[in-house]
Amino acid sequence: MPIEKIDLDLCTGCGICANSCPMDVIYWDEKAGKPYIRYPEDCAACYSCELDCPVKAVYVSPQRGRPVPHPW
Amino acid sequence: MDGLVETDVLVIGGGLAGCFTAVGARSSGADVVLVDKNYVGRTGCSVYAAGMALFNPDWGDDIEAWLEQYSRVGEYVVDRSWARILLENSYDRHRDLVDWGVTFYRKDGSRGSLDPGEEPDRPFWLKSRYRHMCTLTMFGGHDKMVHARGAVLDSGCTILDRVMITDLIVEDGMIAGAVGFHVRTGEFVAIQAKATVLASGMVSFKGAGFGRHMGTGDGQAMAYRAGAEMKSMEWGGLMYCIKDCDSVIVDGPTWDTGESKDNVTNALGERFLGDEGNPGTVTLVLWPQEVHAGRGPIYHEPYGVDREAYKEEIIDYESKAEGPWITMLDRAGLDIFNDRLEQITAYVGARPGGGVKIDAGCATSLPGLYAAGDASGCGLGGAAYPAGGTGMNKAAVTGHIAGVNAAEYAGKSGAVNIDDAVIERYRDSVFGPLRRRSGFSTDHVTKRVQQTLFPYEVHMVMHEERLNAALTMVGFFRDHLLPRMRAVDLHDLRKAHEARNMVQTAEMILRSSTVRKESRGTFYREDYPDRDDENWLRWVLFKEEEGEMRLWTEPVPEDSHGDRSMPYDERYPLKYRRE
Repeated sequence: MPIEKIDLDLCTGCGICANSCPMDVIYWDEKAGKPYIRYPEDCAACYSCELDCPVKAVYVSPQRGRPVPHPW
Repeated sequence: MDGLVETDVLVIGGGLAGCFTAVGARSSGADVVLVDKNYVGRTGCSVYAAGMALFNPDWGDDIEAWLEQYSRVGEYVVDRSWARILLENSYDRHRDLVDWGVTFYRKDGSRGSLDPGEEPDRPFWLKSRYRHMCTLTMFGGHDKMVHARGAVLDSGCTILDRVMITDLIVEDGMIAGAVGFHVRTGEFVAIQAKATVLASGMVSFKGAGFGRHMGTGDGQAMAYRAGAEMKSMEWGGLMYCIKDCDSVIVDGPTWDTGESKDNVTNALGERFLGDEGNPGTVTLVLWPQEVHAGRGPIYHEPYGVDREAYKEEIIDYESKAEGPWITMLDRAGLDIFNDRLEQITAYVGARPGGGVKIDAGCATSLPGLYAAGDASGCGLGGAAYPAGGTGMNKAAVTGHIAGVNAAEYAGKSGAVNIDDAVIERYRDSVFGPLRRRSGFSTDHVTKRVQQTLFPYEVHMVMHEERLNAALTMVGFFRDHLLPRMRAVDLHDLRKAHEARNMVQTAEMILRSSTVRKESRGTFYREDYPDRDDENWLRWVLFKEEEGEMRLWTEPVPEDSHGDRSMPYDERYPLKYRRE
């Protein structure tokens, strides 16, 4: 999966990733006050969450969650 | 009604074009609602765009030379009057970005906000190739969009994040707002507006490449369904990426200087790109031709530059632009500096420049509807992507113009008062896929579109028979899959509407392509393998009429034709490959 993990030990619960994920992949766990990865296969590896995370708690792999056909 | 909103100007899409539209409309006195299916500031391609073409004669820029360059690279079907509008207004929009506090690359090598009138630095490759033609400002794509969101809020606009707009409200042939739903709460949203602006980005298909998975042609499909005239959607968009890490766009150290040919080889080890006389992505059209001739696959040769030295030059801005691609390649275990890697062209759909037809004021053919940015078909670029920074230039300038004119239109219009019963009729189309208990998954429909469009022989090396075969399949998706598509939750409902829009825009691209019976720029037809200046200095347009797509052509104005007396080989330095 592209988005592999959010390290909840590092995560401060600022909410930026869940708020701004453009593919609607990261959601907010109200009870825990932390984000969680709800639709990892839809992550497009855009890296916004990893680049925006103030404590570097997010790791994104460049591998696609769902293979796309190639031109040849 | 769950969420009924009324406003003067509704802006759909919160990339740079949408933000400029919202601020422009608000500054003209209109109440503005800006809506996005994601989060304004982290949506669309703008987040990854790190440069804006900018014309300022005080800095030695030459607009005529730059327009010639657009015209030549775009192979003489560029809308030159639009290109001029975009460049002439670019400095004012640059000043807006400066006012918003965007961080630029400064001449002393530092990064920071610019003082008013301060000349920003130019990227190193512009200094060598395009000196004295035009400035290209550089900024961090992410940083720029944070400031754009701030400017929208500061101006007093209302932002609705996570609202997926699914259809325009059509009333007596006029556009009176739009309907959709909140992706996280499931609330039905209906926005009545005196003027509506589509700033919803490009047509793409969630394929290989980077940063384009949000652009699923939502605005183009909605406008088409509402009866708007559409323009220039046959031109395909190509990027290049590494096969074993296909989420990366490799924007290498040699690409924009035109020296990329040294890094591209075929299966025989031949450097098959000559001096095409054209920079950038237009030469990507030659890769599938090489494969088609049996000389594939295509390789990326080691850069042969010192990684650390290279880092000094470019990694910094790339990390905020086309993604942190060196990091991504590292994580995939690929070494682009020292290893030979297989690479592919990434099909990213209709090339920006095509879309909803607009006039010089960004008005579409439908009263009350405007379009800006990649959603609009203003004909910039013609048959190829003209140069770096033109996308942001177009987003900023068309956004501002659309915003100001939409506000003026709204000011002259009476209150919009759509009957509740009319609004309710849209509810079924918004939530339909969620109510089905069985049917085709949204992933299935998306994959079928990708499997049909992505093979190189469909829209990179075209032939009438194969275009028609693809159209047969897309017609089947439209008639059989879409009415039976099922969404399992709200997240999936968003994907269902995106899939519907992708099926419809795929048909637009393919049908427009059957009409253009010639080759030009990145548009290559095996059955018509030459430019045909006699018959095809024309644009392809279409609209829906009684359930059918009606297509026609219009001539490109003569000021865009270039020097017709020039010999073909000189006029068209890009040489298509034959077997």
